[in-house]
Amino acid sequence: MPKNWIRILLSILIVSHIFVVGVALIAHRGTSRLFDDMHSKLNVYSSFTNSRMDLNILPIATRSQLQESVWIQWHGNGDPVEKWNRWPLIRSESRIFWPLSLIEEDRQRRWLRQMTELLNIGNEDAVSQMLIALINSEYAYRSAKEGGKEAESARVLPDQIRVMVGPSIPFDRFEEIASAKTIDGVSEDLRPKAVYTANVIQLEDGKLAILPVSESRRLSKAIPAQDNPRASDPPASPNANSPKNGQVQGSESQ
Amino acid sequence: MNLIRHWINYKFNVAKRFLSAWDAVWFAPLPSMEVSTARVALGIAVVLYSLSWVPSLHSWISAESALPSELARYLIGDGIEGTGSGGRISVLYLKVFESLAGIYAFLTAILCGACVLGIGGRVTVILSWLLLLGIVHRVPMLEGPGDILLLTLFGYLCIDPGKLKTPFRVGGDDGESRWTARLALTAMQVHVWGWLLVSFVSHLSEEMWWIGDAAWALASHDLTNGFTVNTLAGHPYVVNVITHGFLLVHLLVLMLLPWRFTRPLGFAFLLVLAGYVFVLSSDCIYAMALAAAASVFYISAKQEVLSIK
Repeated sequence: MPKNWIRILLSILIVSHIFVVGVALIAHRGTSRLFDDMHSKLNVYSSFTNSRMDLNILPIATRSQLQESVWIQWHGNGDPVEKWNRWPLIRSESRIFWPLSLIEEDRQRRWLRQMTELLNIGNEDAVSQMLIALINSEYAYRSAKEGGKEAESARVLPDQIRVMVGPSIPFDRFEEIASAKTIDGVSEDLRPKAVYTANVIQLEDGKLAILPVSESRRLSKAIPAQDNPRASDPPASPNANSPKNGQVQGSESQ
Repeated sequence: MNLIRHWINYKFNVAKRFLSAWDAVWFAPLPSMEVSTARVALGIAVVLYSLSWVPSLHSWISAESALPSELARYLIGDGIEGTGSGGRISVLYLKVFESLAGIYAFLTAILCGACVLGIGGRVTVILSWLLLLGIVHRVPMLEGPGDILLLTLFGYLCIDPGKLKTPFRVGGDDGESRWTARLALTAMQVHVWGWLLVSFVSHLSEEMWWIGDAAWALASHDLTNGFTVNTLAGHPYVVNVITHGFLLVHLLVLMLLPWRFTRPLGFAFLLVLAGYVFVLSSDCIYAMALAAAASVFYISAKQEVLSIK
């Protein structure tokens, strides 16, 4: 047995630990809201707090009937339109064996889930930064796959990137969705809703930036109509490698 | 007057009993060997956890990756008061270490392996824990409940890492009883039970678990290892049974673990729950963490079974 004063000190620590941690965890929904209020200016942290405190195996985004999907449109180099709706970050070549690949896939899902949660709370700045990092990693991956610097010309950037958030698939309408070949074959209320669409541009120093379509439109409207025959379109992407620069129409929703 | 004296004596005795029971639960010396089961199980889990980072950590945190240092700092709210970002200390934020991320994860796995083999004592456990925290703090946006449970339980081993009967063990006496061993094991047991309680309440707070649709919701988002919407489509009762079965196992674990007599069953159901999590969700780390967490009840469950025999 430890000395009396050690026992008293440890007992106080144990009780306070159980109380603080226990109450915080049991009331985790309340504390999440509290964090939301405290950090409303920086919604990033509260979003992550939500996830960290949550012990439900059904993710928040899933529970709130949201489809987690990132659609990215690539143009050029034999890839006229490429659609990603899941974790393209770590490619299958880098996986070692079965259990690790499962773990890796789950981490990629979490990354994606964080982005959709950020989108839900309206933090477009954080979303755009995550998307730039995503494009950069894909950019690096493709160039490495195609022979490093020698394949510089083969590098392509997406013209436009979209993060789609939509409803999950209700049980009684699975057949309807499964039988539809394209998303357009699905009734209006089940279609994903594009809540974030942005043009990808390469700056003069080679760095990437993405410009939300709403912002692109605002800039377009600022230019007199005679100088800008397609004022409703987003500005052309300066990406020299893409054959279809500026051809993709930006849209806020489908 | 006598009545008051009796009443005071009665209260005094109750308080005395409570304090002695409290002492017995938290501070009564325990053979440090008994913590070793938890050390081995949790050690194996953290070895696998570290190894899972070896091939991919660099791909996540390098400059040309999805979570470069600047972005990660921004996302944790670096420099903004009240975000807790100051506590997320990790050498992996430094650019020098980004390229060494795979080696860092491998070294962590080796050190955790040393814990499993009984090499070193508290120092090895503390070092392993700090290295593991370095990974988690660098990529908090990728962590799930399993990561937190695993690292917290492993952290309790810093109080008393136990003794192992292995050729690599150094120093100490196997049979030596220590109050720190009791403190570490009880803390882990209380933590696991509290965790399961919170988890159960969290599930009950969602309508989908009540109406039996949760398994479908998980499958429709491709979030299960065991089912797809194709296998579940047209079988609503199967969806309901899977969903409610999960809750039932969860409840049984909660009810059976606290009582000594039913603890062996609670231990078995906790392993079932870990398997259930693996099949029903896509969270392998959480399933592994729950299975490792069951080890903290192993010795007491085993003693109960032996006493029945």
